[in-house]
Amino acid sequence: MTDSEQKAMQEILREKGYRMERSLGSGAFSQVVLVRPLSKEAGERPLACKISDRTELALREAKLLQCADHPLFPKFRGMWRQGETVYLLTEYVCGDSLEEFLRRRGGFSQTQTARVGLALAEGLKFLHQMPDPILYRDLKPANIMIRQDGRVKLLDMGCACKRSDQTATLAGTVGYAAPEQLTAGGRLTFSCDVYSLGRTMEAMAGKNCGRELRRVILACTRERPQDRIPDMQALTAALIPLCGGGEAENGRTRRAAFLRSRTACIKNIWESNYKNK
Amino acid sequence: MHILTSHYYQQGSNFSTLLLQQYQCSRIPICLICLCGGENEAQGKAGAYLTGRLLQWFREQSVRHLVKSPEERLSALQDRLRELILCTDEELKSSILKSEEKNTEPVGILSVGEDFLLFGRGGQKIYLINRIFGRSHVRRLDGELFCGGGDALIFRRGILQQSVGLLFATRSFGEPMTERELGECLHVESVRTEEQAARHLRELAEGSRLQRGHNMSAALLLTGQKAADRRKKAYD
Repeated sequence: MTDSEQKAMQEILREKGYRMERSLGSGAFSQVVLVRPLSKEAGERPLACKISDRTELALREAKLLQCADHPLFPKFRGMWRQGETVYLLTEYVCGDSLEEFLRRRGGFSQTQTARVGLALAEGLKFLHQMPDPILYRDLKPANIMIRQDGRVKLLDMGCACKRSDQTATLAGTVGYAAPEQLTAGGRLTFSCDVYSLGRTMEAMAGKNCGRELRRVILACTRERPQDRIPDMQALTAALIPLCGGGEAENGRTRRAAFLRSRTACIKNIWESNYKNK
Repeated sequence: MHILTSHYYQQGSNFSTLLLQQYQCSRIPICLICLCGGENEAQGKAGAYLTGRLLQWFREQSVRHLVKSPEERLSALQDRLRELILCTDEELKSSILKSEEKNTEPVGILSVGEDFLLFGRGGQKIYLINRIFGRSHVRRLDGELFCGGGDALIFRRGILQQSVGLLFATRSFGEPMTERELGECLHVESVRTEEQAARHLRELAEGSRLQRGHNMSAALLLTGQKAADRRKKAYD
């Protein structure tokens, strides 16, 4: 964005009662900036403002965001249109993207992966169980924010669409999108989001992926939709048992725990056979 | 050393040729991959003829001798492989195929345990995927390997490291993704089975198909520790 464009944007935001602080990022068709309300009555919390030239897509995103009233999604705060440009205000999520997390730390443990996966599955289940179900269609580490308190937020509903709208354009990211999502004429179902969540968990767990989680991921990422876990309800049920484990996950502590339990068992048998005699 | 291979071949009209052979002898993995690009029917037939000859030649080699002293054998095989490819090129030029004056563009690898022999003439893509300082890193190798070679057949010898991946792909495969996106999509550190690797390749191919990619094929070679060695290391 040139300096004059940026100045024009700042002027428009000021007219609407917001002060631009800095840019948060930009994509192919939009830019996201951090803004703060000028008046104290509006509150002091900063907001994220998405500025997009794709009017139709931005209006659709705003409409879907208003429906997505769930803790997983940022709250809708307002929008306005200036010519062909749409300004969309949402809650600002402070934290790092999952992509950045993975780049820095390399991978999550199986339990952490299952917990994040469960949080995402719960939110997507909310979208899928709406009267007019919504498909998210762009689940990937870059769109997942990890807040400073460890909670997860899912950003960017730009690719979301209603399941009833089978004429929606192809959307998704290569590597995370289900095969039918990137094929013209492919039928979109809830299992598209299941596939993307499976791939995201695979990216999160990396080489720390245990046997149980790998089984769930494989069931999520089968090529044919009818062979996959069908919806988020079933995926949630599959992930819950994997979330309860403590931190003792590596082979050494599992073996130590096994030996302790075996020793305790032998001791019990000895006591019952010899001590009482 | 444990080797896992997978491949992708675009169905329908596809003039590229892919050869993938994997054996195990005395617990040592042996792998041969050869990819020949092609933009038209003549090049497709030339590539298929070359890979057919290569397969026949490979099956005539004594795998047991190869496994016993791989370094010596690979140097001897390098000369024979060069002779084979050059002879095949001569045959193709003078044959009824009349494949345009342009030589075939094979690229591939022959690995015996840790030792490998990389060969090719350029035209196709080779990516090295590994982890540096805990981060996934993708580097394109064909430019530096075949740079300045012109039409000459280039050979490179070396040792395969653990937990690396080599991706051999035709030109349009993986376009227009950047190397970083390619590495994220392939995600070699999480791959444990051939099915997983094949799925990652298919996802990449879907993205390229949207950009009107054609004549696509790819082969992926991943090195890693065997599950038994990993368990042994965990308990030590």
